[in-house]
Amino acid sequence: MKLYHTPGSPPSRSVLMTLRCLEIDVEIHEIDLRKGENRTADFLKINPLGQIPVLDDGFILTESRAIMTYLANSRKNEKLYPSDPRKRAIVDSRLYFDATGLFVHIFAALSPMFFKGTTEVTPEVREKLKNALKYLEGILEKQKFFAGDEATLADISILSTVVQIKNTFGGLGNFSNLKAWFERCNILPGYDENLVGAQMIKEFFEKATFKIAPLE
Amino acid sequence: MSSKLVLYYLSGSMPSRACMLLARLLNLNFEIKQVNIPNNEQFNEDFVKLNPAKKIPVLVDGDYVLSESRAILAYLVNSRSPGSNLYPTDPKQRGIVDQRLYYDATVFLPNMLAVIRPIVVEKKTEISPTLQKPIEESLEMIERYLNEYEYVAASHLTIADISMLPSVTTAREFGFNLTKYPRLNKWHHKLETLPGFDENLYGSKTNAAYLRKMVNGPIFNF
Repeated sequence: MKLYHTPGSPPSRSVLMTLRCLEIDVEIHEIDLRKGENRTADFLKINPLGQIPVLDDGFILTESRAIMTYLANSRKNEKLYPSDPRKRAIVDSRLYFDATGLFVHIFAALSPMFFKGTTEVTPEVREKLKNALKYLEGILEKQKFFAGDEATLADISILSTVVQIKNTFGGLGNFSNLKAWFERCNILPGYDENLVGAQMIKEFFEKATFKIAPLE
Repeated sequence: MSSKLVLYYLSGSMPSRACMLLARLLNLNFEIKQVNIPNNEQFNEDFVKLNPAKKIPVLVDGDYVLSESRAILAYLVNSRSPGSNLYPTDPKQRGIVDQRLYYDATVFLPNMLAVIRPIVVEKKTEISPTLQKPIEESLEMIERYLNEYEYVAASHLTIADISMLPSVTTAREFGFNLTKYPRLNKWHHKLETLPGFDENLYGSKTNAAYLRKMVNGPIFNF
């Protein structure tokens, strides 16, 4: 099994962390986006969209959360991805929320900074991120993890995105439930590796000539 | 076990229409409750209590509440028609369906919404011509998927087709010429026989008509 992986990318880290949680051996091929290694003819043959992560398990699978659910399904892992339809649907709902309601906004904030040299998070993007975090904070009022009282794929996916947000804004503002959940996730295998992968965001802002105002 | 199914819905919303199409295909007994997004009904206190994310569609199944259209699609098959080919249980086959669903959620639908949102939500009166190419690229991607299988994710209909259909119909109503994509065109024609397609078409035509009215002209100059 091969994983085409970029440590700085939250979706890529989510797949890697899922592999660690499932104790699956994988050959990691690192792809450097800033060097354009995802735009080479060879890589585009593997994934025409030029996106990472990509899993090669005898067939090519893209889209991080589809890869995560594929891995959990293939191992029939009840904890990470329960088979009960209602429990499973909540995990799916969180995964889609991460994809379309959370990650999309931090991606919109960071990509222009990495690839186009912009120096601020626009007020619109900041507002969208805050609203998304408020929604997640609310979920954690009544439960320990995002799909219940046990950690699932939902937490892995959201963790990768939240650590990216944390490293961009220098913290998680006043979102106390999120902060507690963030620490709680350290029981998951691959947690430290996930945080290390997000270090490059911290380093980017340490070297930058501009600062990002913290989340309130 | 039959609990009361309620779908919070807007005919102008492609993800809402996908859930409606699947519920009709599965012959489910369900009630539709309209949430008028242009009138900001998603901010009504009762709706926010139901879905703090303030989005539609939302499925209510007895005492169970679920948001995110593609989670709803998967849930309806998993709970009402387990083992159905609409959402295969084989991990690899399901993985391919899921990949198409996430492509739809993170690339195709956003390309469509980039055209719709500024007009419907932000009340702008111009559509940027740069928004045309991303939609064409998405239609080309679906054409590529249909090169692999007869339907977008398999040799048979799955929830991936159902998820993407409303956006393809809407693209056609926006003026995109589907005959440029022969497989896609054939696929869309096949799906016109799905129960609920009329409602899907009505929603698409309404989307297109509203946009044309607001920009006082065509959506794109093809």
